Amino acid sequence: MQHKQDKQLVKQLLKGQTQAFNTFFDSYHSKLFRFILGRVDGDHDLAMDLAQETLCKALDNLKDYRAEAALFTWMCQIARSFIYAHFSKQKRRRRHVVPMAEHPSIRKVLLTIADGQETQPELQLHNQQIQQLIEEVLDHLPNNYGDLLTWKYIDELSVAEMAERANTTMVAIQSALARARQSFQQAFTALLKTDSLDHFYPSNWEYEYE
Amino acid sequence: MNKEQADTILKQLKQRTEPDAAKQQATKQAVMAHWQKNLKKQRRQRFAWTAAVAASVIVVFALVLVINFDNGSQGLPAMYQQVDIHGTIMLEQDSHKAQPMTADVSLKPGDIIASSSDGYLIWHLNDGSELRQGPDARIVWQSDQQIELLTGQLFHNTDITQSAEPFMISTKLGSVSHVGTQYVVKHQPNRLQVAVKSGRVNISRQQKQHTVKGNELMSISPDGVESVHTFTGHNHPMWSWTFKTQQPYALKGQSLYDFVVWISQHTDLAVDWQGHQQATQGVLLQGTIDKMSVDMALKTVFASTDYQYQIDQGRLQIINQDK
Repeated sequence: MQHKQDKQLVKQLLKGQTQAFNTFFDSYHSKLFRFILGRVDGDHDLAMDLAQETLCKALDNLKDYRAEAALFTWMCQIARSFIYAHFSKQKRRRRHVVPMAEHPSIRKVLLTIADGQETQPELQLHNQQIQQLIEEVLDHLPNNYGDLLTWKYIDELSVAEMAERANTTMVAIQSALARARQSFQQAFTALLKTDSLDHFYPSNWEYEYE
Repeated sequence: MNKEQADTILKQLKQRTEPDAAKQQATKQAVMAHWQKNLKKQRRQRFAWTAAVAASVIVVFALVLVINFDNGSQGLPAMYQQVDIHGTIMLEQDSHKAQPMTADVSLKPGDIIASSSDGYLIWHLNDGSELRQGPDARIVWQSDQQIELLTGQLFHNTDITQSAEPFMISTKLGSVSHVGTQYVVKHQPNRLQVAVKSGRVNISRQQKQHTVKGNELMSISPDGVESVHTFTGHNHPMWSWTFKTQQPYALKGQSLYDFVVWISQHTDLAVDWQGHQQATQGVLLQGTIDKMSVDMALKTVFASTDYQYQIDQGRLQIINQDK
C-alpha cells in the first residue's frame, strides 16, 4: 500500500520546503510524544527528548522512506529504537510485559464494552490506561480521522465549526466523521479479537527499574 | 462493537495528552535547525557527488576517445615495417599543416609524405622489398600495397626478397605494378617515366596495359606512350639517385676487391677483373663514398689505389697502372 500524501510530504521536505516542515512537525510531534509517553512510564521530559530525537533521525533518513507504511508508523519504529537504546543505556532490565489490552482487568472492561454491558464505574476504574489506549488508536487512524474524532468527542465542536476548521463543507465533514467512527470501531474490534495489541504495539515490551 | 459502543469508548477520552506548548515550540526550533543543517550537508554531498560523477564521466569519455583513437590507428594493417629518414621530410596528416616527420610516426591512408631537395626515405615494406623515395618527391600512402606518387621519383627493389607481393605505384598518368624487379618510377607534370633495371613492370593506363622489361625506359605523356628505349643503369639520371640513397657502405677495412663486387651488384655492371682478383684483395680502403654517384664513388676509391677502371658497354674493367 502506498501512502501518497506521506510520500508527497517527504518529497517536499527533501526539497527543503519550510511549509512542509511545519506540517510535518505539527502533525507528528504530539502523536510521537504520546506514543513515547506510554512507553516511558509517563516521563514527560524523557518523552519530549525522545520525540525530538525521533523527528531529527526521521528527517535525516527521509530518503529511506518508501511509503510502504504510513509515515507515522515508520517514525514509531524509529521511536522504539530510541526508547530501547535509552533504557539499555540506563541499565534497566528489560521485561516482557503484558500489553494493556491483554491485562486481565483492562481486558475485562473492554469485553464488557464490546458486550454492551459496561458500567460507568468499571470504565472509570481504569480510566488512565483506557485513555492512553484510545489515544493511541486515534493517533494511528488514517486520514486525520483521529483529529476529527478529537474535535467531536473532546473539543465538542459542532459540525459547522469542524467544517470551518477543516476548511470544507458540513456535508463533507459529516461523511468524514462517519468514516472516522467506523475506522475507530474496526480498529478497536480488531484489537479485542486478536487478543493482543500487536496491531498497535508491534513490540510488546516495556521496561521496569531495577 | 456498534456505533454506540464506539461512542461510549470515545467519550472516556476527556482530553488529549499534549506536550507542554512552550517546550513543544522550543523542540520545533531545535528540530528545524537540525533539519536545515542536515539539508545543507546533504546538498554539499550531492554537489560533491555530482561533481565526482561528472569528472568520472569526463575521464571515462576521454579514455574511450583515446582508446578508440588508439584502436583506430592500430586497427589498420601496418603499411610498412620500418622507414629510414634522411634529411628533411615533411608529413601532412588530416589536412593539417605539414610537420617534420619522424620514424616512429603512425601513418594512415591519405597521409602525404614530402621529401625536400636534401632528403630521402627508405621504406622497408611488409614483404621485405624496399621502396626508396628520392629527393623532392611527394607520395600519398593508400594502403600497404598501394602508394600514389604525386611528383618525384620512387625506386622499388623487390629483388632483395623472396616473397615479393603485388605493389602498385599510381600516378595521374598511369599505374605501375611490378613482376619481381628493380625499377624506378619518375612522375613529373605531364610526364611519367618508368625505368626497369631487371625483371618486368606492368603499366596500366586508360584500360591499356604496357610492359616494360629490363634496361628499358618508357615515357608516357597525357597523350599516350611517347617512347621506349634501352638504357644502362649505372650513370643514367634516373638511376644515379638510387645509388646515392643506398645504405652507407663502410669503406674502412674493406678491400678494393670487396668494393668492386659490391658496386657491381648495385649497378648491374659486369666486372672484367683482368686477373687482378687476388691482388685487389690485399688493397685496403679508407674514407667514405656516402651520397656519391656511381662515377664519383668509383673515381674516389680508385684514386686512392694503384688501380684504375674503365666502363665499356656495361662492363667494369680493372686496370693496374703499373702495367
